[in-house]
Amino acid sequence: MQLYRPWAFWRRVQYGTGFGLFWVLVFSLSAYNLFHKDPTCFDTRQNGDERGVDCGGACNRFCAFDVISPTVKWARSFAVTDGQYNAVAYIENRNKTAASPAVPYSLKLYDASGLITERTGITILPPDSVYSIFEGRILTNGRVPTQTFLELGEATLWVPATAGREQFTVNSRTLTKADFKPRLESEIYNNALIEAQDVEVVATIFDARGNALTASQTFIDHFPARSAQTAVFTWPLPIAKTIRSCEVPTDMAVAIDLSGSMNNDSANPPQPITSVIAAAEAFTKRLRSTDQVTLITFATKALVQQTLTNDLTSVANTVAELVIDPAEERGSTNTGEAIMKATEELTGVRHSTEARKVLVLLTDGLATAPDDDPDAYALNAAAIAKSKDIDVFTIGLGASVNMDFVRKLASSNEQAYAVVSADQIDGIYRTITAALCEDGAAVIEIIPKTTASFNLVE
Amino acid sequence: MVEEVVPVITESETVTVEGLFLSLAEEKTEFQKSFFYLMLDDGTEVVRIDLRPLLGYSVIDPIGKLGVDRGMQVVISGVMTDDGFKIKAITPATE
Repeated sequence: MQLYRPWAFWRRVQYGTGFGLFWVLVFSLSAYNLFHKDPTCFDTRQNGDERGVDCGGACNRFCAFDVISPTVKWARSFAVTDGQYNAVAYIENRNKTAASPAVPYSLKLYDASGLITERTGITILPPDSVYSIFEGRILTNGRVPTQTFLELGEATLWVPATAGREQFTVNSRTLTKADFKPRLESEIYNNALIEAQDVEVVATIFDARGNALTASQTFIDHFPARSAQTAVFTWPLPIAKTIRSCEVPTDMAVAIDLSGSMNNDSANPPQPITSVIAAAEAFTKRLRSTDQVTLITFATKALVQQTLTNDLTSVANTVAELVIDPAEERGSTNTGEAIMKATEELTGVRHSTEARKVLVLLTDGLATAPDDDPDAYALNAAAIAKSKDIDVFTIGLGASVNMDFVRKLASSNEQAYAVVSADQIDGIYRTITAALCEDGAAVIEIIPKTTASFNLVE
Repeated sequence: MVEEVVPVITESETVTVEGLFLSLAEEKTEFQKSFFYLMLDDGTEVVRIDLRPLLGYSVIDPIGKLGVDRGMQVVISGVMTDDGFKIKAITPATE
């Protein structure tokens, strides 16, 4: 039997279907509006054109896998006072525009027995250069760190930045009181058009070979755009002896052996004294106008021929006029007293707190006065000098020189020179001059660091 | 008619103040960086002198770096700037 449906039934079905579809549509739209969210850069999921979770694409953040990881260039620690160290590390960010406001790090100090201590922290890392990480006042409980390591953690946030080191220009560096309470004053210019806040500035002093010698840190709270500010760094102990930089003047004691053995070759003019005087005169003339020099001669007794002065010409003339006293032909050599006199002068009222203290002592290597153990007397005098931060260079002259004794007088074996023939003396004095004032590309490096150019807006 | 004269400061004038070095006060910036003020009794009032131009933000051995100690009569010289007094030097007062 064929099922018969009247047309009215089909009409009701149509109406019913339409009504149902209408409400399905209404509910669907409501649910869509209720539950759907547009992709954002902080919804903790990868969506939209993001290259990772909330990074890349239209997002401000760089994805960590799209940036080059920063690398550690070097790390070192420096004694500040007894048992306290500053540690510095240089890290390089090779990304041209990617910066991180939070890079976790761990600085570890070791000695032969193992880990001494560890400092952890978070640093900012501007783009496209090398930046410093500084940790101050690290207590080591009397242990002396021999190695310092920096480990970088993974930075999770990388953002665009418009400026790196070029944001700041260091206009001047003035180091004063290097041999007392050193103070480094530097004028820094903010090249940016925006104010920088909480600028961390680290000053690191290098030798000519690029080895870091010491470092200090300061801050600039508010650094207005297009303006200069002064950054001040201080150290509690002298650094003049540490830094063989031309920026540090020298207070120099030139001690010359005038005992009878210095002209024992019967030549005319007598040698080696004639060559010694010529070389010492030239050495004195090579000192810089900021240096001071004192001249000490010694035979049976030591004499201060010239107290510390910056009149280098006058001292050079005095050197040129030196002669061996005929009475000393059978006299003695009081090396210890010469060192004592030099120490008195270099630590006395005429010593400049700006200058490092240096003694250059030339002898034929045999101490014969005072009568009671002259070698021990001289070595004790040298120990006192070194304890007062005097850098002692020694020149042992002649084939019969006791170089073991001459080396012990010097601050280090490298600072004791053996000279066999008189014509070598000038070369040794030149070597000492070069060692005192090393010209280097980076003597004092000052690195400011700020987040001012970072685009931290999501 | 009398023309009004407006004084114009063209360069910083050195200011010297003498007084009793009372103490050091450690402060922190809004960025939590420590530095020192020197408390000075100049006979009229106790004034606070920002030592950052001399010491920076170092807190190691401030007395040694200053070269003067608490209880001493000291002479402080400096300049007046837009940001206030800026210390240049501190020395013991001579009798």
